[in-house]
Amino acid sequence: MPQKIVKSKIIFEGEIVETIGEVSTEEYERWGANENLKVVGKPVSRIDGYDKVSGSAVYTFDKILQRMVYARTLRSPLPHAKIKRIDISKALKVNGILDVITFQNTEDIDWYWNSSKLFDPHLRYQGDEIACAAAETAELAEQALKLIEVDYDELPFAVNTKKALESDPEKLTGFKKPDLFTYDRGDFSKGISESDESVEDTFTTPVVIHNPTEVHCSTVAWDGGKLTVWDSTQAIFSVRNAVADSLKININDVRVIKKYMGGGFGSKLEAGKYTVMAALLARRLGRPVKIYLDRREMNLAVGNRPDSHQTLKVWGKRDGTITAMSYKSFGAVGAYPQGAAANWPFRTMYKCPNIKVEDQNVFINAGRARAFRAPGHVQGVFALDSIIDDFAYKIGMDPIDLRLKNYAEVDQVFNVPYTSKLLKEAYSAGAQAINWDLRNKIPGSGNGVIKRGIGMASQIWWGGGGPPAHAMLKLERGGYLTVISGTQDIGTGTYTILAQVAAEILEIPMEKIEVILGDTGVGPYAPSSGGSQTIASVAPAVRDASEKMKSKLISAAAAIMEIPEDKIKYNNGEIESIEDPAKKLSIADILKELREESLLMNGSREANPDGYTTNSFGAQFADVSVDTETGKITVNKIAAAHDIGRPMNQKTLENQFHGGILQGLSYALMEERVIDESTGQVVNLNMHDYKIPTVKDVPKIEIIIVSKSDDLVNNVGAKGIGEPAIIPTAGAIANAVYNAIGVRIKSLPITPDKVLNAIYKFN
Amino acid sequence: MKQPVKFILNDKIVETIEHPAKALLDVIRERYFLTGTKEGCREGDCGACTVLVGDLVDDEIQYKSVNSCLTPIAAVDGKHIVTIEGFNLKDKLTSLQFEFVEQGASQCGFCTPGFIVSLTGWLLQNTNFTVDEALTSIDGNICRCTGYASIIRVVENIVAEIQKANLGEDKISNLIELGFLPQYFTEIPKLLKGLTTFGSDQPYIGGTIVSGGTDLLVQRWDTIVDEEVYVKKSNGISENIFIEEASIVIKGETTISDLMKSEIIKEHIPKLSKWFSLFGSEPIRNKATITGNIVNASPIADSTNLLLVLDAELKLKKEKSTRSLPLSEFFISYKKVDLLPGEHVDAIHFEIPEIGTFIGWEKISKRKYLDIASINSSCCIKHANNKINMIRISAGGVAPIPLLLKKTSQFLEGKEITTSITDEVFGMIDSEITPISDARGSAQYKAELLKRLVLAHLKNCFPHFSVEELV
Repeated sequence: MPQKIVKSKIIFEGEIVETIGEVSTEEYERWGANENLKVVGKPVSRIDGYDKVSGSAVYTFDKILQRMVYARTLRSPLPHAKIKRIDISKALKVNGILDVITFQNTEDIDWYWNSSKLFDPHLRYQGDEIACAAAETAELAEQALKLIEVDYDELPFAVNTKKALESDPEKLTGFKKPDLFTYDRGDFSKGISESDESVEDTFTTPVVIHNPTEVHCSTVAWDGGKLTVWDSTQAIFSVRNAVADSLKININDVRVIKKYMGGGFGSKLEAGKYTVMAALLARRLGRPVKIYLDRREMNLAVGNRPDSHQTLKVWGKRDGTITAMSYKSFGAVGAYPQGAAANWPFRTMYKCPNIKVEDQNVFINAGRARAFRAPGHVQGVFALDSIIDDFAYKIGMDPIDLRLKNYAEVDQVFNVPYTSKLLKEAYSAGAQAINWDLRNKIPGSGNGVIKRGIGMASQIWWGGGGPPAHAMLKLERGGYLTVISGTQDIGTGTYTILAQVAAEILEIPMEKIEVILGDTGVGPYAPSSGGSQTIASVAPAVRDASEKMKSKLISAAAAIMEIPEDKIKYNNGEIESIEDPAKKLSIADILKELREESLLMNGSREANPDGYTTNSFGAQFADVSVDTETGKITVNKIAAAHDIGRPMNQKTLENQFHGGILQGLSYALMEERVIDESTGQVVNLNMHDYKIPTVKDVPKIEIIIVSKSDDLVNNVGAKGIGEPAIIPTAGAIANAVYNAIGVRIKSLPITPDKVLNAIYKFN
Repeated sequence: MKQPVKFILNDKIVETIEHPAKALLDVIRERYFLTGTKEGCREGDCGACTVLVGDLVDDEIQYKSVNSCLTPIAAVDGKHIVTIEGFNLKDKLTSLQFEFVEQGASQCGFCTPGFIVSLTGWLLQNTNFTVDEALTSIDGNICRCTGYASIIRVVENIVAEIQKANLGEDKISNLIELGFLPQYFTEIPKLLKGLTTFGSDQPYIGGTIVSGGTDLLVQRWDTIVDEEVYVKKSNGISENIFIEEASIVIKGETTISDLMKSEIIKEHIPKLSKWFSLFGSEPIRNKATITGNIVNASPIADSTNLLLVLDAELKLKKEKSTRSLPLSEFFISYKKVDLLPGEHVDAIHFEIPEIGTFIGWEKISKRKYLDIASINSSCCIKHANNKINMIRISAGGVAPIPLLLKKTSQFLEGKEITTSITDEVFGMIDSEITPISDARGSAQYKAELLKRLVLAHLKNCFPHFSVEELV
């Protein structure tokens, strides 16, 4: 049987997940380098290009239904309070305001892993949901919110992570202090005793906000007892499950659809309260409801990259051998349970037999963290590669040589080899692209007002994907193919790449292939679009289905032409007799003969190989100029060299890398959520005050892919690329700034303010 | 309260009845179901809602990009509005759309229509086609996915194509020929000329005056539709900016773009158009008025601090009565101005700067483009033989109001410029500013930067003046 149910292991956003799922057991010949291929790996234009450039792509935010009403959410203005009294009567008197739901008139629905409710009268952060109003127009819904009267019992709060750590957590949120995460390896004191030198420092990173261009939104409609949800989500199945569980209705009575969405970056990886609120309102009103968050709410209530306060110490020998490392960090998860740990890279990036890790999650009265493009790794690599740099300069060693000296050949946490690791190749390619030899051998030794520096940092991430992930193929009249899967394309190019895989195997032109994703009512299960796992999970399932479809076409041709199957070959999208090539059938011919409108085939992702870990690797190099009069930093160039297995599509790959690097640059230099500690209010709640880069902030970026394919990881050889792109950027820029000015800025973002302060020591 | 509005939406004349301050974005999306125009931030900071507004000026059609989320519908009465759907050709992509697909320049695609509208607008309104200018036209379009590299490749390719083609006089026909525009664009001037609108040229009878709306529709988008408003029509540049008795007069509704394009301003303050490219973004500059910038009373208003050193006076109008007030006396305390209820700024005027007068403008912000200043400063100097005869220095972001550094200026007046005076200048600056720490920088940082900006003014005016040793 070519399908089997097996136990498999994947690592998703830092969590090790054991799955039991159906996998394909077929072994397919590996493709070799992209030069051998016709469609995969080529710079194919996206198949949804027309829709996007013509304005005809309908995003969730654009969904308009007949008799649709609008819903807006009232959120806590206070960082910590209990609702004493709430009165919605004034709001309901206004013509056009249709309904208001609160904890008083709705059933209890558990939220945040049963730690809270959909409407919890205990408000734990500025932005916590209080009520939701539906009205004929968005303006009226907005007015309804202003007419809701709420009296609060104000409670003590903390928005500063350090202060919260020192406070009684139960007084801040009512939750117990999260358990301290610890990890030990080897003989720590022995490692220290073997060392000649050590360096220690503390690094801090800010809370930053995803801010995708499309806000979080849903449009929901009931049809009898069946609910259809259009949601701007990275995880249709998670939304389906959360909505069905919340409303206590059958799973197959909820259909979640997401065709086009305006970005997510992790903020749309879980179901939002807003979707459930809209479903409740729609049920009460008997009308479709559109609910959306505005930019202010986006900056308050749909997650963030948590902050980190990381103290690292490295001990080593004068020859560069690292003998021991310790890591102690804390970070704010926000007001509800979530993780803020950033220690993964520390445990695996560089070879060190003796390490000690302590990581503490802290509750504060501010918006809850969520996965944000390479959660933990972006923070972790900045700190790790800063301290590694410090150690290199301390012992007078080239920072790359130090990294090579401590190159980890195996995964040190699981003690197994990698399916592939080309980090050495990445170091060498990146160093060449940036002119590594031009760096200041002594940091800050350059002359003049504008000082130039070069720095680098390394990248590690998972992204090998895994089962379960399924795909279906439907071949129809005329030889048209539809690929169907329950994953979703969040803009990264999944539609296009899955079509390329089918086109490669079945040799059907791209124009004849349609891809349907993002519909729980249609697609078989496939993973959420996070963790850089989509292509590495789903593309192999499409290959599996395509290869099986090919066999099916051969058997159909055998029956039609009355030739044994082994005398038939598949050639360029046609099925022909080996002995008499004039005898051949096109796919369209076969479908015509079969007098069926469609041929169907399922495919599945194979199991991950036993005894290996899959990681992607890379290194980024930054060349910066620092104006020592104004503190302004200009990034001249980023060179990014990565091992990501097989590049599936040159165009979408380049965009992913450029986009990730610019987000990383922005994290290094610009972005930061600012909260007024005396009031608990976030002060930069819009794009006016929360700055992300424009087209004029772009440095020269060179992308170098050092890998051809990872033949062990899956049948297409791909590892994910979305997250690797952003991981080392901030670390590389920070090290370049240090190389330029000779003073290390240990807290992100590296603003002109901090640079001038570091140089001239104002305070 | 609602009033009829008539305009050309893409290739069709449309009529609707709306509250005059209703956002054009909502009308486009909800009334006409053209959802290619996106809403990303509703404050003019993302560009996803960019559309073009075409208007006849001296019989010639001129287009500019605006943020439809901040454009009151009454302001487009009698104009041509082009959304992304209005560029679509039959059976094929425009040359620009094609390049976007070819270069893979859209990822999630939510921002893509805005980029295409801005860039097509740039092709329509410019004569000098350089990559840098094209990039300026999209400085108000935020993309969170692509990192812009693929978009920059699109820009480079189309600029090369346009440069080669030489658009010449009949630009619209040539753009149609090159596949950048649909055919119907040639018909628009005629259609516009024949368009009899309902709401045009109504006299002011009361209510909130909305001119640019770039701040108002951010602050009060949901309640403004319940207010009595009067949307002021914008005039041509020559009617907005003129010379009267040796003074330059700028009418209240003048936009930042008008100012940058005005021949009068180009002659007397030639660098203004370069400086003000750092003001907001292209679509914001196309809508935002200079009065709005002043009356908003932000301590870091980019135009206010320039007008302060030009010793500008405001002409304030209330019904039939008018009064004049020096701009420097207009600001009372944080966001509080000397403006009576019902009074508005009718015009701003200042003496034409004498030939040889130095005028400088500096701005430091977190992000170089599309950002509010952390601090800014302007300076006006009359000088001869290294001696300062008259100087006015302004500073934004270091006090609750836009500030004239009177003491520092007084100290410098009559002085010869040498490095030995810098300590004293710094002391003077410190004595008259009160910066606070906020999201845009610490108080100390702002004070340090201001000193550097004042030195930069002096250095620019007196090139021999060296400040290297200060570092």
